[in-house]
Amino acid sequence: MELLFEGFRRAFEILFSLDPEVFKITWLTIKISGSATLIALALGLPLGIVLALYRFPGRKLMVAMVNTGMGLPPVVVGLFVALFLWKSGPLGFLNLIYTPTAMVIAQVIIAFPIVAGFSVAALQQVDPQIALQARALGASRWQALWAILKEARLPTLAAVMAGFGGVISEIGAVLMVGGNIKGYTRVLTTAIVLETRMGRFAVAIALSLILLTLSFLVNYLLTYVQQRGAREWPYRSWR
Amino acid sequence: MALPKLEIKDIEHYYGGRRVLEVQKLSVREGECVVIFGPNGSGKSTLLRVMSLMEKPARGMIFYEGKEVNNKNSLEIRRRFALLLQNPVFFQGSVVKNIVYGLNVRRVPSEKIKEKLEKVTSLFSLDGLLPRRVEELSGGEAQRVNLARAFILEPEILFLDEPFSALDAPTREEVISELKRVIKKTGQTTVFVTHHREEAAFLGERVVILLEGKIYQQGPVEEVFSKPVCDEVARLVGVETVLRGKVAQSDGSLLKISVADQSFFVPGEAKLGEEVLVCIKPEEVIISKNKPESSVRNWFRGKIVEVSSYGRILNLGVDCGFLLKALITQSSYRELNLREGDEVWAGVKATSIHLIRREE
Repeated sequence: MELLFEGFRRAFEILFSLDPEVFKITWLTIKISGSATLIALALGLPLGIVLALYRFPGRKLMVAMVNTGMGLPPVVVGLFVALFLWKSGPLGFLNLIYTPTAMVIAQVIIAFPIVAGFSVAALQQVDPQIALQARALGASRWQALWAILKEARLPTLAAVMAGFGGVISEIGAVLMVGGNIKGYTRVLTTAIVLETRMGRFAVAIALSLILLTLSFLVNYLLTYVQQRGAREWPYRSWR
Repeated sequence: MALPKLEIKDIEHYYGGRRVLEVQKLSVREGECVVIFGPNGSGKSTLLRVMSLMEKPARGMIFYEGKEVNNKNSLEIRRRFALLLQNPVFFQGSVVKNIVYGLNVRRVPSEKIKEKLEKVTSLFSLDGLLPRRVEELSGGEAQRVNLARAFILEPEILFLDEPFSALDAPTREEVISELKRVIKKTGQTTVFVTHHREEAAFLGERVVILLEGKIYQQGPVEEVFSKPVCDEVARLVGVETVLRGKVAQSDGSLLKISVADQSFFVPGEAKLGEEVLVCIKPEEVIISKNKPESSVRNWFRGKIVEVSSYGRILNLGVDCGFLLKALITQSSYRELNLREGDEVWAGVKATSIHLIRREE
């Protein structure tokens, strides 16, 4: 118990002293996972739109692949990204291994199917008549598509949340392609592992608290926006 | 004569390899209210979607004011129209957002939108509804909002696809009267699709009968309803008794038609021995206990074999050697002290009978 209490006390000390090293790690984490989520959204949402709204041969296979991808083990992603970016690998000439860019690439691969999968679900729950209704009132094809997206905007936020939540908390991939280089590729998760291994529990606890807070804040913000459009259940019912 | 506002020619359309539409020619003139009337599955909605440029037909041409519609100009022309769907869908949010949607996609400036909104608000008495969320509207209110979002566009042609079929009877009557009033007031060119005989008769100036994707008959509503060209159309416009007969006598203007071993007298001209269909609407049949002295030419003795009720009115089936369908009010039925199995006299005026000549 002593270890735990002492650990938390020291952790808060570290947090309130605004340690520049901790701050740097946190900021890098936000940058990497944030940009990975945005890129995943930019790639995953269009794929989600295509899979949800259009019918073509191979669509079901692709949906199944996306769904599988949603549970892709980060270490496996890390391994393959590392293999590709390795000095002697096919993309080795880019010199990206052990850089923040490599970490973003790995996280995009993890988040992309999550965003696409959630987008498919979000778009498929929109009334298919919405596009017809929009066109009936004079919308062009693009405006009709936009009308569908607007109807799905709230559940699509869940895609962003899930994507960000998935990458900010993963460690396997960032460790393998980033290498946990101090001041360069060290992020919250890799730092937590390192500090724990070295027995510096207080620092590990402090970093964990930051990670938790970050992921809570992002989710709170998105939930707040999402729930703004939510309605009360319209009637009382018997059990 | 001015060019029709809209004209379709040699239209064919298919769903899954099955032909659902085959229309040689149909036009809509400025200011008229055309009703497309047909049973479920006759292709009415498809025809309306083709006419309103929502769907591109597999074959055929569409002309807007004489100009052929093509991929380039179709959006611009479609935006001169508005279509009300069978099952309206509302966009999440407020009533007002829904009403101005069509103006927004047309990039109408906001001052103009405000002006038009005021006009349509008073036209459909929507004052209290504007800030409300669409989910909170009742069925009748939702329909008024639905009408408003089409009328605010001041469309050159308004297309309506059975927009009121989901409403209860009193609300439907109310909304339809409202629609008729607004159409009259604004001189709105309208194309209305319905499978309701009453709606068709109430709203239409010109009626187009669609059956199995084909136009069977079109013309002024009174003409189509009183002079159907074939058996199928006759049943659609409310003829419940259709009898095969033969011209037994023809003296200039009056024909004697024999049906079973009975005879009908009907004004008209036909060849002796020609086969005809005798069409009688149930509301044209008079039921009486004794054969009355009257100008009615055709009286038949028969037995009531069917009685069914649709609320205020009773439907009778009278077996006169052929089955004659008749309507009678509840009070007349009681007054005459009738019941199933009773012998009655059934009368039909000669001028109330419509003949379909089969060899034309």
